[in-house]
Amino acid sequence: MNIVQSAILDPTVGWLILAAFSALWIALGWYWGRSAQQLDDYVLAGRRVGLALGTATAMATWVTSNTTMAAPQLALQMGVWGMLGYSLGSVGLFMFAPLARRIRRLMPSGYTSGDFIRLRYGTVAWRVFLLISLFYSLGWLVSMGMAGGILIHALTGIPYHYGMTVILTICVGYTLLGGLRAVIGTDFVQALLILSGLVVIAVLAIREVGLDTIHAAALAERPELLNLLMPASIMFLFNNLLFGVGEIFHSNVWWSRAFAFRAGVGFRAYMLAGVLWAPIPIVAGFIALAAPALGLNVPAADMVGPMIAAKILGTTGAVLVLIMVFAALSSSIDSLLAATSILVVEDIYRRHMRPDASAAEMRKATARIIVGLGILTWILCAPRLTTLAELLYFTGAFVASTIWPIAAGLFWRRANTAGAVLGMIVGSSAGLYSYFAVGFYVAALVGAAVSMLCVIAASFLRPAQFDFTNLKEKHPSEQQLSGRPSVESGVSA
Amino acid sequence: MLIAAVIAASGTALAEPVRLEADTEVASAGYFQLRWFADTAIELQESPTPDFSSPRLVYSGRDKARVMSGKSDGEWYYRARPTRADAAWSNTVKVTVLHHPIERAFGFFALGAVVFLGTALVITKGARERA
Repeated sequence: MNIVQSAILDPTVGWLILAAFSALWIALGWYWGRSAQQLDDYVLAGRRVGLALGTATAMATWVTSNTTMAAPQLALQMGVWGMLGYSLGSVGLFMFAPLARRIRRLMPSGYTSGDFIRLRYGTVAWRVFLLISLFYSLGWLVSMGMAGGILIHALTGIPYHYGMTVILTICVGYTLLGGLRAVIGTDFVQALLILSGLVVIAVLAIREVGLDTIHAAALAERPELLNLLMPASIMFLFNNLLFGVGEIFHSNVWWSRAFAFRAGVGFRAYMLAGVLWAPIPIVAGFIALAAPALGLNVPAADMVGPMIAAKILGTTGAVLVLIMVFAALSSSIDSLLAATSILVVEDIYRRHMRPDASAAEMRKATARIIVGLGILTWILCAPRLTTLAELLYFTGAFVASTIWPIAAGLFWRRANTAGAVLGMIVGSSAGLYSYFAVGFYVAALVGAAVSMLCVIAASFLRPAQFDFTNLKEKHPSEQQLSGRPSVESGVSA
Repeated sequence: MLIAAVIAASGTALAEPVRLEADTEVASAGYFQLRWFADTAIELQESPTPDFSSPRLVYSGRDKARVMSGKSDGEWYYRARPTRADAAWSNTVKVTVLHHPIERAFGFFALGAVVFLGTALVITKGARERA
């Protein structure tokens, strides 16, 4: 059912904007991807990405539809702490900075986060991790596919399924054309669009409505949103921080960038990206608090961001929001498609099915998997089962359980396989239970806490003595060039 | 029969009343969504009592849903009807807002702080030692 009957943009205008920017992303994808011939060029942009592009891609990838649409949703549901709490997602970028440096040093020929878990903890841990990582990747993809449909429906009235289909199709298209090189290049352009668009909208929102009016109306109509002691929002704070940390620590989206950046770039790129990203959800969230002052009806919480921008700024603002969120969606969907396809190709296709696959075969498989992911995402987006935030935070129970296996695994020799496996399984289960028993705003926190206990307890009861040089594994494509066998070792399951 | 036919043709009192529903009966974070099924513009009323003795107009328009948020603890009653003068009211929907105890909130906050600080410690200590 289409619940918005008061869209501000004419559907024809919406279609024109989508067509124009779709053509732009496809053209850029083709342009930047045309030199990506080797597997490393296609999946890791040749491992030579510098600081400017590195920072832009980290920031743009982390500015997802969730930043621009779920942040306002959380401000509308959780109030001031919802808005500020969302910006704690930048802590994940800051904390990953030293990890990125360590990963690049320990695994100069690494391809995926799965490679690390396999070499560090063995096969059982690796398979549990893959399940979690793929489940999260799919959840994130679905949340963004949904966001595309919701955004376009909110602003133009175009039915949800049409908008969702267009966005998924375009992102699959240019990711296929150019691989990670195209993804990073388009991220840079998308980052500029996102930042400039948000600044304009926020400044105009304050000028049009006024802070006093926003405050008075929110207090009258939705008083608990301004209550700094609202219990659910207090519970949300560290949950969101740990969710962000878990997302970044485990996801191949960030590991692939750590491998793709030139040596020495990763630490600075992630720190800078965190600084640039942190204000964005605050600005986006703040906009939602203007809903009462504007007398705006919000049919679904995840629509509030684009609807407010359109109401304040009129047709021009609606166009700006459509462009900006389309850019945010594209920059994240393409990254996810690229990173998830590498994970599937390396860790499932090659390691489980075709160990002798050539680089050309793997490149072909990568392309097929990108298309397959796009189709699967569409199927899961179609029924629109829940809101953006609730879908996203459902995956939080799982991803937060990987924080300690990864962090301890990179820096603690004594962290062992049992702790990692228990941490992920028991942590995920506990987080999932708390999602239903208490609320989505505690699932990641509980998952991370239980996982931490498991890893620490196991490490002290039966400490391992891991040799970090065991992580230096050559990829088969490099072995073919050098004529030497790979170093395949690590703690056995 | 003639009278019934005239009334049906004019599309008034025999029209099906609006159906109203909420996505939850108990809201522990102060927010919930109301949805209604109607082909015309509606008006939506809120009341702290089931008899709607002092109702508040919450929304009037053509959308099909509304998110309520920032509500304080209490019982809230809702009804809707098309904006025509003689339209019948929908079913009444009751939502109870019951926020989590503050002690539970601070408990989770403290747990989160411990996990965050522990993680930060293992990373900074490990990065310094390895450097």
